[in-house]
Amino acid sequence: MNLSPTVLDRIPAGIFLADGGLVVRYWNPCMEDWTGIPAPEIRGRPLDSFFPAFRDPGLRIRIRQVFEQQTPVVLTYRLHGNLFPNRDPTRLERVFHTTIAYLEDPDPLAIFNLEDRTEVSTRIREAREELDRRREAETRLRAALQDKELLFQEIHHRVKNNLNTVASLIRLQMDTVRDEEARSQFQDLESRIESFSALHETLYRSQVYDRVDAAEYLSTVTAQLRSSLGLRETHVALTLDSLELPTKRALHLGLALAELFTNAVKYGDAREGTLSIALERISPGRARLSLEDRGPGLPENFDAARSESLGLRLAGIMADQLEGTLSFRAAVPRGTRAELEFDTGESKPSIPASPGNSSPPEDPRSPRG
Amino acid sequence: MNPRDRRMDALVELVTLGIGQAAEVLNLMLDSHIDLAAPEIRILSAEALRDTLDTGGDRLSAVTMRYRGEIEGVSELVFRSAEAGRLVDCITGEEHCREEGLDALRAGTLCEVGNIVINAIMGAVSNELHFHLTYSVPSYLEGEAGVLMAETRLEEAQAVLLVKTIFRVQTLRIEGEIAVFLSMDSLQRLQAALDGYGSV
Repeated sequence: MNLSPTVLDRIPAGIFLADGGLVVRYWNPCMEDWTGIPAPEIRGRPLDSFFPAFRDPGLRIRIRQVFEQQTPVVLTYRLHGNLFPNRDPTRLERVFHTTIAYLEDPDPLAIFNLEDRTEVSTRIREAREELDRRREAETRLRAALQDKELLFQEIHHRVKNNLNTVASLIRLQMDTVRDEEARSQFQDLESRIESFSALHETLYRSQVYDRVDAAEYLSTVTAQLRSSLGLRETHVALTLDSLELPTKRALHLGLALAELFTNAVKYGDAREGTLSIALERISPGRARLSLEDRGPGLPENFDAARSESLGLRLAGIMADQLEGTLSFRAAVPRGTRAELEFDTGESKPSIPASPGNSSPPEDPRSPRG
Repeated sequence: MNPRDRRMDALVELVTLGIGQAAEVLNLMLDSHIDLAAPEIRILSAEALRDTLDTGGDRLSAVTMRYRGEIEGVSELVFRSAEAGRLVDCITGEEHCREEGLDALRAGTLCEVGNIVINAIMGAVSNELHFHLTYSVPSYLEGEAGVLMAETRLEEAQAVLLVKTIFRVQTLRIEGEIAVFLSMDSLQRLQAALDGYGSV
């Protein structure tokens, strides 16, 4: 043999030579180790007497190509399984990638080269199993998330309905009361509850629970206030920039609007006049809610901070909660303009989604701040 | 019939012979029945092949074997990687179709399938035209068309014999291309041999 056996002996791969009748001519030490068959035992014997898989006609045809066409042939573990099992069944089953090439030495020979891919195969199998586990976990998480969203949606829907029921009860109670002052207080209470209800309505519709489109929410609050206050003749002009707010901030803004709105209806001749409501972003992280009526304007020496009106005190508390300022001034050509400049909370971490986010404001009797 | 048509007829005959042998070997070896067809054979320039293989960003998987002797070049069996994965999984009865590329074991299986098909085609051509060729062992390549062409140094090739190949396994239909790249000298020798083959 021209190929030096000492070279082939030292190659860290399984190498053996076979002639056209598939009789083994050379068997290297690596093959001895991997199969448990010593070279002297297999040399000069047909390959298929040790490895019956080589009696397969498909394999025979392909190996014949090596001799007839001198084309190399590849045999893989996934298509053929282990073609060279170790005679000791307790030994590790190896994954071989076998290449057979033609060799003239000077007789025609086929040189078999077995590459051990056991480690690669194990790693791939483990990676696939890990991938399958992750996919399964992801599917479970998606299902859980979907369940949670449905639950939140249901909760907001029910809370909205319950609040509407409470508002209806207050209205029924109000109808039995003749005293105008007491009726007005019932009316204010109903408006406040409806602003809560509007928030849950908006959350329920949007299916996003940690942030609210303030424009959509405020327009719902306005529509409910118009309805509950019976403002059929009032023209309400809404100019609302789209502005996403954390749910809690949106709630404070809605309550402030409810107070300013009912205040304008009471004192600003809005019942048969005009109200303009605007929401605009004034700088990054800051926005302004304004409400303007065409009423008689502010009384002389008006000071919102000293007002005993519960509504104005509540609006002030909401302004504090929003890290904002509430101011009133004369509108042009007449009437009153209320402005609430506030922090949109964009730079602050968002509040986790929870049905409990719509907690009621602090007790208005407590000190501001 | 003009010489060009005669050569093409001879080529179609050789490729059909090779495809038939490949199908026979695959069916002897695999549990699933596999049908092979080569409905379209053409010779085009290497430049035109770049456009033909351009998949708009999809990755390609190729089994490649170099050959040398009377004619020299590279033979490749090329699939879109996703199609190659489907073919391998269908043949081995495993399901990993969601994966984009081929891992080492799946690439090995594709190598063996490509090896069978290329051996059969090149064997038919070399046996019938009496070319004595030697081959490199098959290797697997994956990437976009440009990467594949650069990796196989195909710029040196002037012409390409391109065989559209359709694999049908169970309900699956997978389309691939066998590309045999030839230098100008090799193309002329092939044409001369085909002229001789046609006249027999």
